[in-house]
Amino acid sequence: MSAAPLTVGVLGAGNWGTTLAELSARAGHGVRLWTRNAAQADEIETRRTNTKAIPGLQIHARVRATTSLELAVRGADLVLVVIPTQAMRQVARALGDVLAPEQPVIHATKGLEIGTIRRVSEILREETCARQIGVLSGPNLAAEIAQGRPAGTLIASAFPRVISVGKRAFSSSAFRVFGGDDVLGVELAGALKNVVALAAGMATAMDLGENAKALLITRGSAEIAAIAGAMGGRASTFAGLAGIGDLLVTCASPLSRNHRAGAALARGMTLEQAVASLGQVAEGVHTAKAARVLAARHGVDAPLLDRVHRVLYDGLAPKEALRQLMRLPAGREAAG
Amino acid sequence: MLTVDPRVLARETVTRVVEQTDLGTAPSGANARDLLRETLYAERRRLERAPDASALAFFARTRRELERADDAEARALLRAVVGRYVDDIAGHFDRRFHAVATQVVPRALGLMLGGAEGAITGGFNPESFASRLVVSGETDALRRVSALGPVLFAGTHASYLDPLVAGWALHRLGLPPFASAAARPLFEHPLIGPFVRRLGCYSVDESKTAAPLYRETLKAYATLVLEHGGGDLVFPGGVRSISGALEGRPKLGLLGTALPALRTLALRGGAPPRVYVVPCTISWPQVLEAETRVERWLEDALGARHVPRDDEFATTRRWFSFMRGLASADQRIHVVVGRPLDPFGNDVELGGGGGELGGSLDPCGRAIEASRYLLDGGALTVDPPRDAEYTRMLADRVAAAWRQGVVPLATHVVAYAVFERLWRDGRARDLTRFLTDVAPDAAVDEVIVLEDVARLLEELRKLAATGAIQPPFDDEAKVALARAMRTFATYHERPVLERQDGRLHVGDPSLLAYYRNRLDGYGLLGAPSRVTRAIASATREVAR
Repeated sequence: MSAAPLTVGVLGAGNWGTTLAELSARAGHGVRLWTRNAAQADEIETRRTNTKAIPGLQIHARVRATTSLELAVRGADLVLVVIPTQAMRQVARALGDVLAPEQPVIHATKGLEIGTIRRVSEILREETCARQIGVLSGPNLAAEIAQGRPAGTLIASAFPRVISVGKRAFSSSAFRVFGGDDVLGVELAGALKNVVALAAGMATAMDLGENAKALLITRGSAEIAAIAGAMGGRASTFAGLAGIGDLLVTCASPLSRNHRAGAALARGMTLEQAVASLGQVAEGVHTAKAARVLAARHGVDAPLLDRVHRVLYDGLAPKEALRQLMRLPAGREAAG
Repeated sequence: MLTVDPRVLARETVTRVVEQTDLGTAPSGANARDLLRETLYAERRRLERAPDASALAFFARTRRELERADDAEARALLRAVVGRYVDDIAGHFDRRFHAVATQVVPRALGLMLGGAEGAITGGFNPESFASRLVVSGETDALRRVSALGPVLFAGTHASYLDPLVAGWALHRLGLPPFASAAARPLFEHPLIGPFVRRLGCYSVDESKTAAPLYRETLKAYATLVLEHGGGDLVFPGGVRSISGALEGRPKLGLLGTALPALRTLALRGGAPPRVYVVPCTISWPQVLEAETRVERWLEDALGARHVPRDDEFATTRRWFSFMRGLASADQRIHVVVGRPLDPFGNDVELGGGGGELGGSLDPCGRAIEASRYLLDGGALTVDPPRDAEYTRMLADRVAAAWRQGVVPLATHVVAYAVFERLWRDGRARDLTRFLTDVAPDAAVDEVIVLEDVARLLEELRKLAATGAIQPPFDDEAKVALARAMRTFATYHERPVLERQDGRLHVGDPSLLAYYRNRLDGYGLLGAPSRVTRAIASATREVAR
């Protein structure tokens, strides 16, 4: 493999997209960062900042911002997609106009499409000619990584080349990139963990203690693993960075949107009030619906995910949900 | 159309396998010595089961020489083993086959399907046979793409007779003869063998596929057929279905020949390279080898003890009664041609769209240059894990097309209805209980069967309207039941179902399951798939 610098096209200049673009530039690669927002592109190009996404970050000179998808993607050795799930299909369709069949595409977006319950890699398959697709996921708080603090992540793909190009693009002494091939497992773990984060937020607000929180997180993880397992994912994925690793950081961070939404519900707010107080919809509010559909479709018993859904949509009080969960017969742990 | 001398093809195959091994680009990625060792081991195991003096001597000598061989000598041994396999695969190839194939194909198939006695006495009429085979689906698309590039025609596999039926369908569509992978016993059959050799068939010996060099030789040979512009008819399911169900997903072996062929054509430069994969579903109203196949299924799924016996294929008496069965119930064999795909499973432009005719399309219908999937660092590369993953994606599309191409025939519909009725009423929880306790000596009122069949036909029509399956051949429950009962009574040793006092009695529970399984997994009559386990074991199956 040649050591020549790569050209990386990054689609999406939010905090995670900008951070990954920065990581790649620091690793010596040329980055074209696409945003549809001309003012944002202009700010990056002229002032080397992206205040709305990551205040305080001085962006590397090798990151070039553009509003032209074609400029960002044509000839890139790797295309990284970091677009909110619900906007993914639209951007993917536009990407399909400029992408070449041999270009590897990695996405770093956690979530499932509302309505279709499609995973992001499935959307990319449906809307573009891309085949060499991977997913990047792990316990990754963008702000810490942008500061250069140590972290690690996982790139999963059925194509070894996607993993090796992805490792080259983002690895550094501060950022460890592992490889795997369970794309489905990683995508489901990344999406469904948000539902568990809602539950963890409720537990925090109810002041149940650390034991209770660990109980919720572990059982929640087991339920997610059972759903993914029924769909063809691998159990070992959930013991890894994209599984329990991601869940730990999500549930430990009281600032995460899902955590705050859960806490608001536990304090007696309705879903509408909680959403209004956050100013934006937490991803877990959508994925709770998807989790329920998937569990039913694949015959998986997922009481915790189900109770979160009922709290969100059937007016079940968080306290009552907890009481119900604690009264369920406790079977063998490994049975999920 | 294939224009190369078969002997040249054989030589090129040896060179190709040796080159791949040298470069480490063989699908297995193994080196000559490891490949030889694994091959010798597999051959020793095979020969323990089926001793053959000449093969034993050859492989014993090879083993001895390999022990003290240097690299150059190991390479020579590799060449010798591959050369032996090429003879085995292509040794029956008749040089003149293209000249005679057009006359031979209808005669061979007429012999098979029109009644052997008639053909032997000269009374065979190809026209009457023609009416027994129904070819439908994307036939125009197949004709169109086969003018633009070589076609890998990928059929479902239930019977040794499949290559003949599919070959005849291609002939009837006016296409030049295809090379065809045909099972060993076809070549050895006293009636059909002489014809098969002249059809351009090459032999696939299921008992040798455990040997890695055999597999690579077979793949290289089939790839070269495509590279020389020849169409190739293959059955990527591997072995004939043992449960009666459609193959869940094809194996990658022969399906994976389209991709390297495309790469070779792309490396030659010039016009954009084109290689097509066309799925094809063959629906048999009755299957010649059903009884011995389903025994294998029971052995796999239930752990039943396998009592070896002659395949129906080898028994001339069974052959004749099979023909009579087809004729007496006025049965038809259905060949449904699927939409042409590129080697990556993409659709191709068939006219009317924006792209160049025959060019690849992405999922949104945009024109793309498929050979670019093989680019890495600007060069067309060989990358076995990548290429295997591409072929897996192709396999998924082929499997989906196969399911859509199933024609529900009277025997499938009636067996399904009766099976599901008994399963529910007998509260069968699993297949073992069903076959041992519930089905033997069971009977269902004919009126109930007619109601169930009518309901099933209605569900099938609705499903067909969505494109998930072909419309049922018989539209009316009564007609379907009558046709199924005639078929069930004529061919098999024990009737699958028998009518007595207004009730249908189960004569052979396992054959009832076999014919039922063709419609498995569509969720018909609210039933879940009952053969998932058997499909899983069928893909594990190494042919015996």
